[in-house]
Amino acid sequence: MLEIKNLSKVFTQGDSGRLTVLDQLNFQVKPAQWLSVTGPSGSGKSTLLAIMAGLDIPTIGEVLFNNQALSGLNEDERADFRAKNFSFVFQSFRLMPTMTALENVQLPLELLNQEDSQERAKAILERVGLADRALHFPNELSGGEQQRVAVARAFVSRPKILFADEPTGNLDSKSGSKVLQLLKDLQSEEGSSLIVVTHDPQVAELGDATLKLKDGKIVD
Amino acid sequence: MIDRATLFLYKKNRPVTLLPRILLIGSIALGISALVTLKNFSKRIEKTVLQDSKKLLTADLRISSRRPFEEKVYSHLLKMGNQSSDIVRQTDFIGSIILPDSTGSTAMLRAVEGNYPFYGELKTSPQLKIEDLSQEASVIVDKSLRAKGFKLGEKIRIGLLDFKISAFIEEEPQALATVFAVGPRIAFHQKYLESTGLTGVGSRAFHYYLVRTAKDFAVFREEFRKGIPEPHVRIRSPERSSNQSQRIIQNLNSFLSLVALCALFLGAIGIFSVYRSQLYQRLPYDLTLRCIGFSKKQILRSYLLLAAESAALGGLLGYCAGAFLESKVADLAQKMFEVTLSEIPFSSSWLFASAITASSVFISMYFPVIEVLKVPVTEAIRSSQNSTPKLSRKEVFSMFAGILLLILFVVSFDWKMATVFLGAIASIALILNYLGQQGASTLHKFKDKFSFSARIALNSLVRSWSKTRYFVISVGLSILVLLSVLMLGYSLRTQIDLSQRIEAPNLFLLGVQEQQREKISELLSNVEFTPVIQARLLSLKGEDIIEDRLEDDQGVEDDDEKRFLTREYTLTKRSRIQKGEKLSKGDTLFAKGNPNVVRVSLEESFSSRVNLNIGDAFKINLAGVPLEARVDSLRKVDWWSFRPNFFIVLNEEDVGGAPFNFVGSARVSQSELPTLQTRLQKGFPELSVIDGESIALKVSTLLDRLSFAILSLGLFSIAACVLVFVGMLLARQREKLSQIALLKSLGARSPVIIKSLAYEYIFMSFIATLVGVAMSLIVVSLVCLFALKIPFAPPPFWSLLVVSFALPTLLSLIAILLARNSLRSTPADVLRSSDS
Repeated sequence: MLEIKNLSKVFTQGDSGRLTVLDQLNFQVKPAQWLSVTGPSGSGKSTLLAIMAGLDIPTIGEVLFNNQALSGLNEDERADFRAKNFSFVFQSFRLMPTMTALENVQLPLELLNQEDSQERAKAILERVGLADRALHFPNELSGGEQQRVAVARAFVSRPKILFADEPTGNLDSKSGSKVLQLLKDLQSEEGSSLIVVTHDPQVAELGDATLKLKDGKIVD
Repeated sequence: MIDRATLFLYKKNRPVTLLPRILLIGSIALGISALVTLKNFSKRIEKTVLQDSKKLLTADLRISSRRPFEEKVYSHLLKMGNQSSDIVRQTDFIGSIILPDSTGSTAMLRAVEGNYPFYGELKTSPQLKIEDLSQEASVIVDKSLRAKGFKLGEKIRIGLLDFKISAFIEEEPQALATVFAVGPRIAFHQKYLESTGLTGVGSRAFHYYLVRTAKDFAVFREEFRKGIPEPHVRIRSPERSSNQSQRIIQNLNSFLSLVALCALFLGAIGIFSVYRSQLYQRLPYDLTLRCIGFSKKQILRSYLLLAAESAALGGLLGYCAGAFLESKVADLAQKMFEVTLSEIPFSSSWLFASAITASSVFISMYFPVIEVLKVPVTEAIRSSQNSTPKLSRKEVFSMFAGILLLILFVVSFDWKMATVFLGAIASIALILNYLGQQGASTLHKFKDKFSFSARIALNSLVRSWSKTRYFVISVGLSILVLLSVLMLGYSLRTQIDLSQRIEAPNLFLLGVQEQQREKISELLSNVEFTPVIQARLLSLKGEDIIEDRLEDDQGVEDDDEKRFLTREYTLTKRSRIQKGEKLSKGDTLFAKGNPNVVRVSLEESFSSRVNLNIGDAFKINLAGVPLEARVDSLRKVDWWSFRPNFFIVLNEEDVGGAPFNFVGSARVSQSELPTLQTRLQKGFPELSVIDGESIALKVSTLLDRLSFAILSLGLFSIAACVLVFVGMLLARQREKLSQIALLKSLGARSPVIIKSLAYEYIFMSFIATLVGVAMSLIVVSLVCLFALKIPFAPPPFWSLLVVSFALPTLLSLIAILLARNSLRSTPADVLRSSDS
């Protein structure tokens, strides 16, 4: 479903030279697969995630989704593409502080002009166990609850692929486990692929496959 | 206390906080300099008025009367030991003249003699003395006539007599008075006054004796009153005469200062926001420093060093900016009002201002640091900082009170006025906050009817009201101040713009006698004649007011209430109410019957000032004859109708024999006005023909110049508002960046994000503008109704519409421009920058 072909990312650093963050990567992500991306700090995990999700563009190479190259799309077309096919869970939750939990979950559906957005948002909030917190603002929720809202927001639009960047990085172990279980359950229910960037070996183990990066290259 | 680590931090922080510090120092220095300049400007005018008060009177004291002096006044002055060379007779009046090109004009006329002026200098070209004008009928005229092309030797007709132009006035002692002159100023010798025929019965001349004396004013007055107890003869010292001018200047200065204060206060909020947002951007570094062992005190001290350095720079900059502004003030006064102001020596107020600037900078930089240092150090190890520390109420109060007190020290020591003003600002701010919040909430209720972008904007607007309110209040206040000044000026100009008021007369004839009326009517078919007579109040409800009148000379004349009792009034007689009047008490203008008293109708504000009501009795001196009078009705009068209006109207049946003369008034088309004025002046040279239109124009020009001065401060207020706006945008930048990043990653296109940003600022500024416009309409209509007593002339609807839409659009554009980098970047870049 998602094919990475010959992908490199190079950052220029002033006059001093170039820094190759990702170097000649080639791999595929299958439908409904959980792919864990691991590696030490600075190995290029987050950069790879951003490029796969169309948030950034590679210096060389291609990202193909169902044989369509993302690099052929302009910024707004990529935005449309993301809205229809991808979703995200961030380490720092990234909920809109001026919106309630319900409104935050509705957000992707609103972008897609879905008329039943509220009903669907309510249903998924109930699914993640936060029906009673639907009208609360993010600053009225705990870290674990905020991340569960973020998970609900990610799945509400039934994405083909969900990208998660250190989803449990800001949570205690109990809340982290709860969020991971939720991700696993929802992934199997919705049939989405899940690409998770993580440092945590326990999280990585939950995946169907693991991609290990070191200095921008796949080592395993 | 200041250790090596603190100094290290101070050095490292200097370059990164450069921009906000420049903004902070620059605007506070400029603002305080503007205030001190205003204060010094006012001081210079006061000094001009005070130092030149003798020049204003041109003598040590002045004896005045609204009717020609009896011979005994001059004899008594001589008997008191004054030399004839120390006494000058002066008569001032507005009259009509025929210029050398045979056109008529209204002029400020002065007949003088002898050693005029005793103080100040009368410079003419060629240089002449007043006594030189006695050789033949000649005049000295102001240089505006030279600018019109008139030459020495040409003839000017004043009343019945032709005068030769002998010299042009280059400088005269009463320079400040020239600001209010309604026509060219012309002086001639007293001995020709009677021959002009312009100061007979019914004229509106002011008669003076100017006296040069070494005697103390009180002693002189006592001796003078022994021989001349008549109430209509009044004595005035130079100090007294300058009091009223000073009062006007002080009020104007206070108003200007308080407008500037408002602007400066708003500016301080903006600067505080800018610096605070900068500190929050630096927060992760400061937290890291605290993690690795720097103490809060070390970080605080490093910032305080920075604040002290900025304060010192601010003081210096304030001094330089103020000195520059001060040097421009005199030129501006000369250009705008043709007034030469007195020089004042180097004032300690500049050092004072520099110290105030420095203190304000220090306070504005101290409190944000205190706030930011409240963030717990544990936040350093969390990737998202959820902690939002707040200054305690006590700290917020201390900060604003500190800045306000410092500014108030500069503005004025008039605590009463300052308290009222600040109270008004606080009330208006509260109302703006309430109305703004209600407006936003109302919009939010209908959010489902709006687009996705608009809904995001409305959520942000309503749910972060604590941040939005500063914007709404400051923009609303700025608009309120600006529009109020503009609308007040507009209402006043509309009121006095005779060309737009087709029913208002624009040509007046003073001192018309019974036998002249028919002939004048032949020239002016629509002329209306109003009978007039002079009178004074003698007693009210049986209570003699002589005592009050005698106190007049001891300074009570500056008390408006007392002056109301002792001044001379012009009365009219008739039997019906006239256009522009309305009965406010009483069924008819006068009760029927044939009483033994004179029946009168009083204007309602006059009746309350002299405390007379329907049925009350009082006594008047009508052209020398004491008469008993009774109040039969009260009238509301439109004083801005430009018709002859009166405080007291007599029943014509009761004063048949009194020696009335007439004021003629007519509405003449603008094209006919100069010709008719000339024909009337030639046909009736002994009458004063006043062109109301040109006087209205003069007043309007003066108003425009005053409005300009006030508006300049209004623009300062707009500049302060922009600072608030930028400060707020910067403060919210991080939050907005995060919002943009999230929306982008969720798949929102750029237009959606731009729209949501634009909607947010449009909603916010639209609410602020709308409330500001609405409140300015209310404030101005109240001021017009109760203070100026003129009808409120609302500005054209389109102009309010333009303000209401242009400003929100402009502010939204600025917001989008500020966010343009984030909009152009890839979502990954935005995510990175919002995380860093």
